[in-house]
Amino acid sequence: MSDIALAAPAALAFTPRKRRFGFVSRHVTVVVGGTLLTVLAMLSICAPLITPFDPIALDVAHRLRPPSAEHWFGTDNYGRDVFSRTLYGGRISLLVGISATILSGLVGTLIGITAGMFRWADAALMRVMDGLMAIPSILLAVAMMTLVRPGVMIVIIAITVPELPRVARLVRSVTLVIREQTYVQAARAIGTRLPALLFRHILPNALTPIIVQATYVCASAVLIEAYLGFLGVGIPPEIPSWGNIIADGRTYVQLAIWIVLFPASFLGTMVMAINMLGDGVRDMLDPRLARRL
Amino acid sequence: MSGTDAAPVLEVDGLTTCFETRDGTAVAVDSISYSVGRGQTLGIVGESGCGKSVTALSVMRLIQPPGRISAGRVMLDGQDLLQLSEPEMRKVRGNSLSMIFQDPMTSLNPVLTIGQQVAEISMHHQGLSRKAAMDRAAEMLRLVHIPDQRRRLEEYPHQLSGGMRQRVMIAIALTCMPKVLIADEPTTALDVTIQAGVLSLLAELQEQTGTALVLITHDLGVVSEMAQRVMVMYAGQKVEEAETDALFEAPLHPYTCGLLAASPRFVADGGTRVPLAEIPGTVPPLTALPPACRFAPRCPMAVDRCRMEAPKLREHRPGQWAACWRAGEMEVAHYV
Repeated sequence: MSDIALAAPAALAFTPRKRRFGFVSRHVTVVVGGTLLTVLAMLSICAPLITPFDPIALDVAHRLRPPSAEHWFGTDNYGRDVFSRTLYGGRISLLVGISATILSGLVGTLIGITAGMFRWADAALMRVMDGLMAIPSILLAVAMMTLVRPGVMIVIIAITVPELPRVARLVRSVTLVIREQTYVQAARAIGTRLPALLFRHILPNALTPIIVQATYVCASAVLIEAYLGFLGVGIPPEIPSWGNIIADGRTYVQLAIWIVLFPASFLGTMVMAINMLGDGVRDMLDPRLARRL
Repeated sequence: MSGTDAAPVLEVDGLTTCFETRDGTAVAVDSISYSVGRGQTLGIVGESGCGKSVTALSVMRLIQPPGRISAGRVMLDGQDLLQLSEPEMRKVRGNSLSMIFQDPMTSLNPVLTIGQQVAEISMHHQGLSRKAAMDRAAEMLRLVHIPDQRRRLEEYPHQLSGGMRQRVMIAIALTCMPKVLIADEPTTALDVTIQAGVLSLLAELQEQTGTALVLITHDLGVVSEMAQRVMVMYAGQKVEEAETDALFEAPLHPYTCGLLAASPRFVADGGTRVPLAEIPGTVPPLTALPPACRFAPRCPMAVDRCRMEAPKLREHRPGQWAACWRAGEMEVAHYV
């Protein structure tokens, strides 16, 4: 105890220095999650520069080879390079994750803010959202595959639809709180028009929870894309995605575990990184934890 | 202050506002009438929940469902605000009719700079460019005695103290030189020392601009300093209205007596110290009002007639109105 008491003045003297290094130590999750995600994203985006192999080129002479200096992650049952397939697969995950997030974020925010601001729209919109929430993305994907040609867009829609209500509900509840704030009342009292009220006063104050929610949507979108791919109702098999690769490799698990192992660990890492980022951002922006600007 | 006899700029007549609730219709404002002249100040006093703020919001037409204004007229310079369309009303709000809210800590949007918020109103109502509006904003901050205006304009609300923020709110409210300013408990959330500063600022600006001021408060001290006339509200109704001096000297309504007896008075050494009194009970819920006089259950003077028949507002003395069967029979000292 006495050590702490003695150490206190010394610590105070170092405050400015501490604060400069503070960001990393205070927001470990943001830094780790953000770094992991950036590395994965760079690997995927720069895939053609990193790997010499075409992810869909067959090489039957070298099938089911274990990881080696040439094929870092080994080869699969058609002799395709698992390393390049994994990197290219990451592109699909990123594309689907980000698109589904943006789409459900924008539409969900619009629906949520409308429901929160206009009493006449509230009940109708939210019942529709409840209905959407009951649709499992897997069933929706299966149904859409049978109706139209499978493709990335279908997967994005199948993931966006069930995620929409989560965003809409959150935005609605936040809007209900903010619209009762005195500054919204005060803005009305100086004759502010509705669009300005929405986009200058309500939306900016609702942004923090929306951003945090968006990261969770992104993580679950990446995961659902993999489920769909694994079940064969996602991205068409000619495009490598993590779900597809794992699905293809599952019959060879006993012979060649590397086909499943590498894309699976990339998938896990990416989902974890996004979730860490979301958690960290939430902690960082939470006004109850000392806010420093 | 000059111009006390001027023709009224704001005339409220029989204003009635109801809220539809699960327990039935609650009449939060029950045929309230008052008027304020140019440069005049009207104080509206009463306990929490007696309808002061709803009256103010009704005049601004800021009542939102399930509330609605069901009757009355609000004449601003001869124009009935209740007849205007919503876009027309938006041109009035903040322009010729402004309002200051109770809590300066939450009255400013935390994500916009002070400058953006002060400039917004003159861009909106006077069509100024962003740059001109910023210059005007700086001028307004100077007017409300905020030093270092250019730097303050760049700052966010959390960087300002409560008193400072209320000054900013006053600056916003007065940017367009409104004819009427409604101040809803402008100093309740502030320290006593800062209260005095904000009040004297309001009085000073009122003198400069000739704005009529409707000052809502539960602090009788504030009223005695600022207002020429006072209106006392109870459970949505006006129970007494008089010139400030007359009201403080000889209140007619037992409720007014109670309010006076319940407010702390500074007694210099040697004077008699008067203990504070309280009015027993609380304001009744608006869905379960007493049938006749609404104050009767809490009134020490109540007789059978008070429980049978509602008293009408009558002019008991010149310029002094009260709604009470036993008006003037009670003295403040009775409460002690």
